[in-house]
Amino acid sequence: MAKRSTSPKQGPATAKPSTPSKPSRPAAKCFTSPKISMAPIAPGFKRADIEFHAIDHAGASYEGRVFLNNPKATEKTPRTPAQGYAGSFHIFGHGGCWGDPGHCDILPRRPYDPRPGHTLTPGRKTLIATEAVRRALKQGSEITVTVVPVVRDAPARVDAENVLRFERLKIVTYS
Amino acid sequence: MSNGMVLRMNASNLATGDLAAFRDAYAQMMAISDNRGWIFFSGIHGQPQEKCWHHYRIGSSNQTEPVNLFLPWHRAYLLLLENNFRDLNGAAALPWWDWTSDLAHQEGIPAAFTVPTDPSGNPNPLLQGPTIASPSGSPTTSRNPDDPGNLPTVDQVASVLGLSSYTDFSDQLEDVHDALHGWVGGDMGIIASAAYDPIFYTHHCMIDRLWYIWQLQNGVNNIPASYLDLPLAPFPLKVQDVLNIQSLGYEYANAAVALNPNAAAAANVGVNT
Repeated sequence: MAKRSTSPKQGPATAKPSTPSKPSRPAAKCFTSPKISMAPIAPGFKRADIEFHAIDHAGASYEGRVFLNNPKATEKTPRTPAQGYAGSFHIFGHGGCWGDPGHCDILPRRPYDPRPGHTLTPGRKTLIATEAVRRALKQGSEITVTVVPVVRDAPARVDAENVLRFERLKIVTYS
Repeated sequence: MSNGMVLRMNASNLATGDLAAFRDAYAQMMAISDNRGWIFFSGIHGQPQEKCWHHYRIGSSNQTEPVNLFLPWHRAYLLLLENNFRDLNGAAALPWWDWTSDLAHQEGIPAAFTVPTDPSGNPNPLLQGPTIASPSGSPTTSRNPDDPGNLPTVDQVASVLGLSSYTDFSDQLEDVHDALHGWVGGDMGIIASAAYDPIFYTHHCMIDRLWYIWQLQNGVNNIPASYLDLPLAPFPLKVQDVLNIQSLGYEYANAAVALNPNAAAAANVGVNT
């Protein structure tokens, strides 16, 4: 059975700018959650996931490096347990809007409309982060989640700086 | 294979004749401008048709729960492409790129896809493809590969193959897939243009192969029942039609070898039958 500890809806409003290692690479803003209470989580869970809901994939492709309890993490932060690195998710982006005005508007489907949902319907990314969550809980009952987007290639048409967009994140455990 | 079945093999271990047939099929497709051609097929995935399936969304307005048809859709896509190029060269078959192999972690993209010319000195059709959707504006694709050491590892793939839930497995394999697109970069790095790069189909052949290996362990029909009757537009197939690759007329070399207790490492063995 899954037990959930959820954060309030979050966008990139609390993002901090990251420093690219090479001037030619686009810099992307990071995100750090408020402290998330893990009190509802029962100990002894077998698996812990960090879920990112309604995540945008319309822009550049990127690696989302996830750190726990390390709000100062940047692209240069080593991806090690000591730094709170929980793993990465990856976004294969559409590369911006390629059509005429309205092409990328995500319109709801009318009744009897046989078409699938719009291809830009925001997605969901699930990071299996069991060991990282266990380590973070040893530090205290509250966790912050930081996402550092790393963009390697970005077409000129996309806003690589604000590539990371999602509506909410959840930490879900399974006993 | 003599019974009409296609045997898909490791792109790094293709026999000379098999590689020549594959190259020939691609070269012919790239020279055709109608609906048998490269631009037409590549344009199904991203620009301009945008039929590809990634992430969760509703299958139609009759649904309330979103579905993710990433694996079955791309299986159907490869199948149609392979049938198309076998019309042009009956000996051609899609090979897979094992990005977990020791060789891949040294050389990155398989050499067959990076040499500038074929043995006859003609431009290598596997190096780049014509495109109408390059973010650079170029008429041909280009790549910007990352360090081969950053490719997915055997252990990463093994942990994905070890997931017993279809949705779990599909989500995590899709993430590995996403990482690869970012790793290759260039036109492969965005959905709009990725399918115009010849390496796209060989990358997806590995994805499909991993799904097949997972099916051997977890059941061919192991997929949410709500998915079965969903169409895989624009192909004349539904999800239930693409679950059994033998019924689609193809096999993967050494798939049984890949099922030993160290499945992912065994899958690293690029010996073709």
